[in-house]
Amino acid sequence: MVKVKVFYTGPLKKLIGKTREEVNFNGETISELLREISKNHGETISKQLIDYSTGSLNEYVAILLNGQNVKHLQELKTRIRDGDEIIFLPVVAGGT
Amino acid sequence: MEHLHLSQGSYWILKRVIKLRIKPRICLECPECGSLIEEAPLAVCNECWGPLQVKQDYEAVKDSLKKREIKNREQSLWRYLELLPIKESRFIVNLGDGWTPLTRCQRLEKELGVRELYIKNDALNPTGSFKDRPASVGVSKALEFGFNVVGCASTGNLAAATAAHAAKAGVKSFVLIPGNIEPNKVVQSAAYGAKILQVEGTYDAANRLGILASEIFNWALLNINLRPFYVEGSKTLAYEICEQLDWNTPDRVIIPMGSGALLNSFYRGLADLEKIDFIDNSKDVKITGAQPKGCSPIVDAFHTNNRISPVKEPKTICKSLAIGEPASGKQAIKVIRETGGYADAPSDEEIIEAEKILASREGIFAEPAGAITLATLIRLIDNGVVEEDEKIVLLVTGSGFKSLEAAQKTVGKPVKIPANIDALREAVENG
Repeated sequence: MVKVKVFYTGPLKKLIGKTREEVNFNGETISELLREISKNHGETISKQLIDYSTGSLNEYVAILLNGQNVKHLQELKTRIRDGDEIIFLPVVAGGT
Repeated sequence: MEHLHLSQGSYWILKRVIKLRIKPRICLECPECGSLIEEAPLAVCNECWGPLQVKQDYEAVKDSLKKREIKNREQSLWRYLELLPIKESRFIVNLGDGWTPLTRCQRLEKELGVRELYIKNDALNPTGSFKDRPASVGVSKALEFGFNVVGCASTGNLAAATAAHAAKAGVKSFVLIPGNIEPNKVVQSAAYGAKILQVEGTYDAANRLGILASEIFNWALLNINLRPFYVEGSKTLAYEICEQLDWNTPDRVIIPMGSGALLNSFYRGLADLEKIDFIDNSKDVKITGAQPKGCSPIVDAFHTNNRISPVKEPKTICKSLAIGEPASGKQAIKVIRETGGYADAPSDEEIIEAEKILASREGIFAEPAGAITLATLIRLIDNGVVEEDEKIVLLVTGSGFKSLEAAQKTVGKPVKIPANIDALREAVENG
C-alpha cells in the first residue's frame, strides 16, 4: 500500500470538488494512481487525462511528481513511492 | 411609451454610437472538442483540457467595421477595437501599442535574391517587443473583469510589457521569470514597479508556479487564466500587415515560435480579416515557424510527424523562445501544414549572424528571438524551400537592447584614440 499527496488544479479541481487529498492505493505507477482516482471520483477523470488513441497522457495535461514533469520520466509508467507529492496541471503557456 | 422622433442625421449618428459602444457577445470555445462557454478568466476547457479561445460574432463586426473608417483612426492596435475582446473602451490601457512600421528591405532583397522582403518591426513597441500587443489587451481585459492585481510567467519581454501596462493602469503586478534571462529585461520590468519573482529553473518551472498562483490568488495572470484574451492582442500583427499592404496579403510570413501562440494568433488574425471580407485568401499565406535548434520541439514534431516531445532543458541564446513544453504547438503544426508553410530551426550561430546582418544592412537592431526569422529565411533560400518571386514578411519581435550580451559577441571593440587630429587621421586611414 502506497500513500501519496495529490494536488488538483484546473478541470480536475472542478470535477473532484477539492484541491488536495491523500490517496492510499495498491500500485506503484502514475497509471495505477489514475485508476485509483477514477475509481474514487468517476471514470470521467481517466477519460480526460488519458488519450486512448495513443495510450499516452493527454498532451494538455502535466503531472508533476515531486516537482518533476513525468513526461521527462516514464510518463504513465513512472514509478511512485510512499510519501510522494503529485500535482495535476493544465499545460498553459502564453509564450511567443 | 412616448416615441422618440429623430431626424435622418441624428438617427445616423445614434446608430454609429450604438455600433461603437455595444460590442457583440464574446464567448470562449475549445478548438479540440468544440465546447462553448461564457467569457470568464479561464484558459482550459473543463471537458478536455484543450486551450480555450475567444469566439466573436463576426457577422456583427462585418456590419460595423469598414476599411475606410479604420484608415483615419489612431495609430495603435486599438484602431481594430471591434475585433478585440474588450466590451467597454473605458477599460483600455494603451501605451501607444502596435502600428509599428512594415519596412521594405531592398538591400536584403538584392543580397538574398528575393522579390519583395518586408520586416514588421515590432521592436519599436513601447517596451521594445511585440508583447505590448497581448499585454495591452490582457491588462485591459483584467480591468474589465474587475481584477486589481495582474501578472504573468515570462521569459522577459512579457514581464516588461505587463509591468508597464500595470503601471499605466495603476494596478499592482507580479511577474514570475526563470533564473537565466537577460539582465536588461529584469531591470526594465523592475523599473516599471513590478514585483519580480525569479524562479529557480526553466521558464516551464516558472510557468507551472504561475498556474498554481492563479489557483491560489485572485490575480489576472495574462498568459495563464487570461490567456484566451491575451493572445487576441497578437492577432493585430496580421491586421496591421494586411492594412499596410493596402489590404493585400504576403505570400509567406516567418514567425518565431516559443509556445506557438504567436503563430496561431497570426493565422487567426488573417482568418478574422477573411470573415469580415477584408481579404479573401487567408489560407494562401504560407505560415512558417522558426525555433532555435537548442529548443525546437514544434519544428521536430513537424518534421517527424510525431507528437510534440517536451524539451527538458532548453539551450539557446533566444531566451524568449526557450519554452520546452509548447502549449500551442499542436495547433501551430496544423496551421503550418494547412497553409503549405514550413518550420525550421537555425543554430544559435546562424541567429547571431542574422542579427548582425539585419543591423548592418537594414538598420534594424533585433534581439536573437527576433533575428531568428531572418536566419530561417536564409536557410529556406539555401534549401530551395522559398521561391524567388515570393513576397515575404519577417516578424522581428523584440529589440536588440533587450539582449545586448548576444550582440556583443559579434561587434568589434571601439578604437580608443587620444583627443587630437593626428590620432584621428591615423585611426581613419588605418581603417
